[in-house]
This record gives sequence, C-alpha cells and structure tokens, in this order.
Amino acid sequence: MMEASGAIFEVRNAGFSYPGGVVGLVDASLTVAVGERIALLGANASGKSTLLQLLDGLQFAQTGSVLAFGTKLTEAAAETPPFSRFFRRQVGFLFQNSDVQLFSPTVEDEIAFGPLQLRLPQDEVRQRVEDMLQILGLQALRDRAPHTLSGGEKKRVALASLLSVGPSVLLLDEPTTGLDPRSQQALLELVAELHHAGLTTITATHDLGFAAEIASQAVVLSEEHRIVRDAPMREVLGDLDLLLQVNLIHSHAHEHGSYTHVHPHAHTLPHEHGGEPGGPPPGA
Amino acid sequence: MIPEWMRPDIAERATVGAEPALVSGRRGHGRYFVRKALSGFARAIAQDVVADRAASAPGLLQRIDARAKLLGMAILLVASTLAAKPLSLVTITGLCVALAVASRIPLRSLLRVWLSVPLFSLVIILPSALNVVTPGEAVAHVWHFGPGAHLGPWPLPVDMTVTSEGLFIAARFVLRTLACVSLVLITTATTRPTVLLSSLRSLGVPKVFVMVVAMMYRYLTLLIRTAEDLHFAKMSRTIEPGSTRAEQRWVASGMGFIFHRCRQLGDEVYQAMVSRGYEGEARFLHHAGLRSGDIAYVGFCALVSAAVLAASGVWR
Repeated sequence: MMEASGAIFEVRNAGFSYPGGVVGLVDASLTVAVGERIALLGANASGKSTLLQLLDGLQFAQTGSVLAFGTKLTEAAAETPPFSRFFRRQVGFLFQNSDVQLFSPTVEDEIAFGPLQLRLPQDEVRQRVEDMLQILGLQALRDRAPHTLSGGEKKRVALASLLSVGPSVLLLDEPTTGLDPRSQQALLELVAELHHAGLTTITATHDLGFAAEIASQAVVLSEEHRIVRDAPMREVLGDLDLLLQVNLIHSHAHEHGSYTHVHPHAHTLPHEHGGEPGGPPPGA
Repeated sequence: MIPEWMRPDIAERATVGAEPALVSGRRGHGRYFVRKALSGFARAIAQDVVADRAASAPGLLQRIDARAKLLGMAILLVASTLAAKPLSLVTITGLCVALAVASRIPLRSLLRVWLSVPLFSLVIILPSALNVVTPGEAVAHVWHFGPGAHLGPWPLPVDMTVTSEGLFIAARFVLRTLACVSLVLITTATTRPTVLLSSLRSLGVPKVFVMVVAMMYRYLTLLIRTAEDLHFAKMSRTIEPGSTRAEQRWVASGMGFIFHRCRQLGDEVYQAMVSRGYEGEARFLHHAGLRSGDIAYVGFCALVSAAVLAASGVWR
C-alpha cells in the first residue's frame, strides 16, 4: 500500500511485543525525513533495538503501523519484489553484535554478499568490494575469516558490508559497543562523512557523548518502552530531569571541601559548581 | 552500607602462604573432564590459526589456485584407489613428500599422520592377513583349531595362519590409506579452509551446501569460545570442586545454554542476511579463471595418475 509522503519513515502508534508477552515497544510515533541525523536514546531494554528492527522490516508492528518510503512495512511487502529489493538497497542495518552480521567465510565474501543479493553484475560487485576495502582500510584483511578479526576490525567489516549495498539510510544499533576510543573516533568520523554525503542515520545508543556528536535530533525512549521526547539534541541534553527519569544519567553525590552536594551526573555532561556550602549548586 | 561479611578479612589474608595445607596440590579424580574437553577445543582453534599461517607461507602449492589443487587431489585420489601395485602407491606418497617439502609444510605434521594412520588401518585390515579370510601360502602359524572346528555355522581350518597373499593385501591397504591421507594433507595444509570450501563450488558441489558448511565452520568457533568462557566463568568462582555428578549436571545445563544460544544466533544471523537482501538463494562472487601454472599442475597430476594406473595394469 503506497501512501504519498516525503518522509523516509513514518511510525504511527506502533507497538510490538516479543513471544511470551515481553513488551518491546508501546505506542511509538516518529517521522524521519531525508538527511536527518537521529539518535534513539534510552536505557537498556527501553525498545531502541526493537524500533530499529521495525524500521528495517525485520519485525513488524503488531499495533499501529510503520511506513517506509510511503509503503506500509508488512511481512508481505518486505518479502515481495520489487519493493523488498528497493527497500533492502536503501536501508542498511548495523547489528550490535558484529558476529551476527559477519556470516561469510572471508571479509571479501562478506562485503560482496549484499551487492550479489541485489543481482548486480559481477564486475560492479568486484569494484564495490575494492572501493570498500580501500575506504575502510581493509585491504590486508581481504582473505581473513571473520572469527580471526579484532572487535574494531569486525565493526569496520560489518559497516563495509552495509555500505557496499549503497544505502541511503543507515540504522546503527549501539555501534560503539566493545570499541576502544580510537575505533570509536574513527567510526564517528566515518558516519559524519557519510552524513555529509547525504545519508540519513538513525543511531541507537545510551552513550550521551557519542549521541551528541553523531546526531542533531534525539528521540528518547522511557523504560516503559514509549517515546517520551522527540526534539533537537541540544534541548534533550539540557533537560536533566528527563534524562534522570529515563535512566540515562544518575544522581551523584560528592564533596567539595566542607560541603557535599548532589547533582545529576553523566560522564559526558557538564555541570557547574559553587553556591553555599551544603546547599545545592547552581544548575543542579 | 556494605555488610560485614563483604569486608576483606585481613587476618585470613595474613595466614595465606604461611599455611602449607592451603596449597596441598591434591587433585580430584575424574572431575576435570570438562577442562580437558575444552582445552582440546581450544587447541583445535589454535590449530586453525597455525593452518592459516601455513596456508599463507610462500611455497609451491600455496601459489596454485585452490580449485586446481582440489581437482589435482581428486584425480590422484582416484588413481590411488585403483592402483594395484604397492610401488605405485609408494610413488604417490613420495610425490606428496616432495610437494610438502617444496611447499614448506612442516614435516612434523606429515610424520604425525604417518605414525597414526597406518596403525589404525592396520587394525582394520589385520584379519584379512589370516587364512580364514585370504587363503594362500602360510608364512606364520597363529593358532591350532584342530580338525572339525566350527565358529557357529562356519567351519574353521585346522590351523589359523598368516598368509603371504593376506600380508600383501594388508600392506597394499595401508599404503593406499597413507597415499590418500598424504594427498588430502598437502592440499588442506596449503589452502585456507574458507578458500577450500568456496572452491568446492567449482567441483559441482551445490551452492547451498557450501554456504551451510561455511557458516557452520564460522560459527562453530564462536560457540566453542562461548563454551570456553562459560567454563572459565564457573572456574573463576569455584572454590571447592564439586562432585563428578555435580560437574555432569553443570555440563548438561551448559549444553542447554549453548543450544539455546545456537538457536538465537541462527535467528539473528538470518535477520542479518535478510537485512542485506537475502531472498533464499545463495549467490557468490565468480572466481577468476585458472592461470597457466594452475592448469599445468592439474595436467601434472593427471599425467602421474595415468602413469601409475598404466604401471598397475589397470588398462590392460
């Protein structure tokens, strides 16, 4: 069912529960426009991954609906060409666990998998593999088996395997999990470059520092699996009450000379000191 | 806030080291089977890395395309199976040794195979050396049954002997096994397992089968590591080793966990495949054509096979 709309994704009151009644997402509504940089923020098990899976047509809304490129995402739509091929070409999903994503015997096979599924000519597939190996600095790993790679290398190969398809939307599920600071920075720079090239990115994370750098818009999910805020990143990061309420920051007590004060705390958020001894500091 | 029992016991710590009974070195019997099994798996993974290193070493066979190596091996395997003369089989084994040296395969690995394989094949073939199975000229006396002896409905000879014809058959069987195993060894030792698997497609093995085996190989390593982590996590919290029965119970629950993880992993991997456009049909990159060196290798294997079969009188 095609519906006229300029948005890439339109999520309307979508709900999803896993078998056994485990709630994944409740009454979620969201619109994603072309070129947006969105971060899905929420504590563990708040529904970020579920929402990404709904957007990638891997799970399907049990209540409400999810529209992608104007078409309602149903099991039939996601499995029937030509929409299924168009959709898979447009949307790339980086899984949290790279081992899940790297199922081919070698790095080269892994990068070639997506383009081959899209029935691209062999020459073009080869060219894309070469480009990806070069852009992500993976030439030396070409013939290596995925299980012999380090965490950072796996993540780069997983990203290369998505980008070789040529998507216009990237869904990134906790992309910094298990990465050292240097690999995190490299990933950040690459995603920034991709966004600059026109890609839309939706990143699920609970790392506020990373989110602030990778996205301009924040969608906050509560521990009750509901979207509680969809606003510019700066505005969301300034709302400490909201961040405390959804368990993205915690209250932290510490001493300053003769007085102790309590304030919301995340390792990436600034806070001010001062005020009367024993009293609450400004901005807390 | 912290309960008293959580505070480090300084007094107890002071006695450690001063008390010899704490380091008795006593080991429980039969309780270490899990550790042994897992260290065996870990060795297998390490062996995988060693094999990967040997496969990328500069050598003769490493320069040959995996498809050519597979084809050459298949031709020589057929010749080894059909060759009737022991000298032909010795020739093929000798060729394997020469190729192994030229490919810098550690001779240790060849020797290990040569010491174990003949032993096992000998156990299998030994009865055929006896006159009960292969009648012929007796070269050694084994047992005297006496006249009219029977084994159930089967009559037995008066004497059980080793015959020269039986010995010949046994020796040929051992040599054939040795030649075949050596052929497989030099091919697998000089080719990355992943490349070897993908080359099977060019020999007509169905694509889906190759894909499933490749994925099985890939995730087996991951699951072995999970099992190892599971064991280490338990070991790091084990103060007093449990009884064998308790260990067995733990192994059973660990197996259940791994099985569950397996299913979960299967679902997730399928989702990852679908996410990148998988519609149920395996597709692969086509390999580049064989080079002249690869074709020459296949031709050489075919020539040796023809010579071996001609010498054995197969075509007569």
